Amino acid sequence: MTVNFKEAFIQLYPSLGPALLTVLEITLFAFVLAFILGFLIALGRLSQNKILDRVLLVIVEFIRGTPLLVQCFYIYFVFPALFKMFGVKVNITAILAGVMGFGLNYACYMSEVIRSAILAIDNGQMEAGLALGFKKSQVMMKFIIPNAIRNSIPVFGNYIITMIKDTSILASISAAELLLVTKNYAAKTFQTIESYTILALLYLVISLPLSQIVRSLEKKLNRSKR
Amino acid sequence: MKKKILGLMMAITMTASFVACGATESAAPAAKEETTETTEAEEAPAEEAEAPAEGEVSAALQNYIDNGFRIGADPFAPYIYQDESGAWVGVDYDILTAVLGELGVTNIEVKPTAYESVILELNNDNVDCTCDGMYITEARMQQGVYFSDVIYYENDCVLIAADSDIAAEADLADKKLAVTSGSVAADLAEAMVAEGKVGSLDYYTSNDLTFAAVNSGQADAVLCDCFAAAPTMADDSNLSLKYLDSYTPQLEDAVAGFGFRAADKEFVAEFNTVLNAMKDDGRLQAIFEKWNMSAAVFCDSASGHTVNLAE
Amino acid sequence: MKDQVVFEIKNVKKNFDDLEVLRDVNMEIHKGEVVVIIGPSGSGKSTLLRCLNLLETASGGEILYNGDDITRKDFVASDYRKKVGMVFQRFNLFQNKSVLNNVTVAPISLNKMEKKEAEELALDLLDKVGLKSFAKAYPETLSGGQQQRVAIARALAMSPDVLLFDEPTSALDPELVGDVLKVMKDIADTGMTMIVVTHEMQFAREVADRVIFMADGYVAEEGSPEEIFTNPKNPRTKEFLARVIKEEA
Repeated sequence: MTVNFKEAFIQLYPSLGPALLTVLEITLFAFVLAFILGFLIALGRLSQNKILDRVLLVIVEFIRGTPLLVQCFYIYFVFPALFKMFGVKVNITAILAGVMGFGLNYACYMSEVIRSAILAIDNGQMEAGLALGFKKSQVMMKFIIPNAIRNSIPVFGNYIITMIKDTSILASISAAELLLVTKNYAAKTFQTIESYTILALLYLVISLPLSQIVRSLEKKLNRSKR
Repeated sequence: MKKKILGLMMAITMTASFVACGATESAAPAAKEETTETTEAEEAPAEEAEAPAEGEVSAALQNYIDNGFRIGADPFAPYIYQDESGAWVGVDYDILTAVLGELGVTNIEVKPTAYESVILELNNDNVDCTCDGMYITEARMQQGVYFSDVIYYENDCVLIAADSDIAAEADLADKKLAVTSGSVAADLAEAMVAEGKVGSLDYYTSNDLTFAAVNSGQADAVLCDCFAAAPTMADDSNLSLKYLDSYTPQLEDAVAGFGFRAADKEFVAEFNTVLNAMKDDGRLQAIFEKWNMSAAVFCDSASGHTVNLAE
Repeated sequence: MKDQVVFEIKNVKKNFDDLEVLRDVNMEIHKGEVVVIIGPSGSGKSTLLRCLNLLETASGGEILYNGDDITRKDFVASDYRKKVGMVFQRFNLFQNKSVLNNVTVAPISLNKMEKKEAEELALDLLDKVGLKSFAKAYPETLSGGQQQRVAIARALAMSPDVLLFDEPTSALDPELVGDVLKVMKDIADTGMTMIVVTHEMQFAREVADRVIFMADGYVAEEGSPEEIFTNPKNPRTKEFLARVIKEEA
């Protein structure tokens, strides 16, 4: 068996570029969606409204209790099929389904991160704000939430890295991301060793620098907490 | 029921990967030979048809009648596999048992064998035939396989939603096709896109997902191997799909046969006689229908003669 | 003007579940007065202070601020708190804001002060507490004593009528206490009404107009620093002072 990385790379490269863009596009939009939803869920769960808290908890547990791939299948295959049954044609592209699936799934995990980060903020911040004449909601928005989010940045960073790698599951719903493109090439050429090695290295090239950034952010935050 | 569908889907996936391998190995020469030899093929059954009728059978057949017959199979639906009760079923199984039964062989055993080692097992006399839609190729003949006449074409088909407005191949020009990544159908579909015969292409990681895509409206049609489509068309009532009947298969050359040992040459002739009789009187087509195969898989007795190396 | 009553505290009670922290507290605070509350830990002095700016709700009794009952249900705490500043034991500076912004955020957001004006005010106040050069720094880079002085500047920026100090030096290293007490003394000299809960007896002796000794959720004794420190009448006061002064020595 001969191994020819150069040839494989030259042939794979043109399709890996757009696939990488797809991955980054999905990750970016899904993260923004996850952050906004996660933030709203966290606020809802921290509100005084016990019913809202319960409802959100059930939703969060439901989504956390089912695999991401299943959720993406659900959005991509099941929803359109259900709509079709009622004669409505909806068009959910694989990328949109990926953004929705990842956004929802990660929102649930991130809501817990944000929630516990808010709870971890010293109550003295709230008291100081109240004592100056701020209302509770003002103290939350001006002081506590910015602090909580700042403290969560390294965790968010790790979620982004995980998300980038997780996008490979979207190959199953035909999103032309890195894995699917590589799989297509490997199946055609049988350059299995080369294709998947290149793919793995590509993921590493993306995630290693990101991990490094996250680590230095972590250090910076830990230093400032002292 | 869920288990059944799961098993089915796994089976589809496995079938797909197997078919993909088989197709790339398919040798054009084998198919060509077969068409040029058509005239000879007509003579052969005539001579040999008498043998079983006289009650005089080959030594090999007598041995199988006395001691039983062993099918070497890597279980895949719809070729040959075990149903929920553990009984062997499948299109290959039905054909084999029908032909062998008529030859008087009733003691039939299926020996599960890894596909890649089934030829070795055949040569080692550990099994008596191969199946699983094995393509008739010269390379395999050189490995010692003596093929039966063509059992079926392993060609491609197009599936569309039951309520689809696609009526002809030409209608695919602006449609989205779903294919399984790495399948022969994917190669065909890529060529079709390049030629403007198909609007666009989405790749999925397994056959079942391509069917689901059409079922949920994410794609307009599936291009796949007929055998990959068959179980879906058969069992899953939730999938409202149908064959695009007007589609002309592009893989006409891919023919499959059962493989035997060259030493059983006379027995294979006896086998072919019954097989061709079944083709002529419609019993083979009935089996295909039972397994919801596309009509395009059928190869009539006149064009289905196999010329083995030893001949 | 010293006779004008700012706070009238009548029969105030506070319990946390079964624990009675304030049993029956009565006192009056006059305008311009510096009142130092002393007493053993658990005597309820911090709780009383927190009831005064409504971080805790009194379980019973009345607290009148300029004649207005702040314990009533429809009372708007946020407006009231703008006028009654508080300095905490643990400073509680806003971690996400610079020193300057810690001081300007409330005047800008709550008093609608122009940013420029607020910054001038803040720099002036930071100058007064000796920290003008730290305006751009973040709280986490400051020592405890510096943070507490920023917290005082922050409270002053709202131009409060009353300042409440809840053990402002208890969390500080001994060598940092002096700077904070000096700043407090300077404020006292401006005529600010101050209620200070502290263990700093020297401060009480020098700065207080009146010293209140609390024990077991009651006001056990009150009087001028002179009376309390040189001639305490209540045996509890005597015992407490003897112990504290021994510790200080």
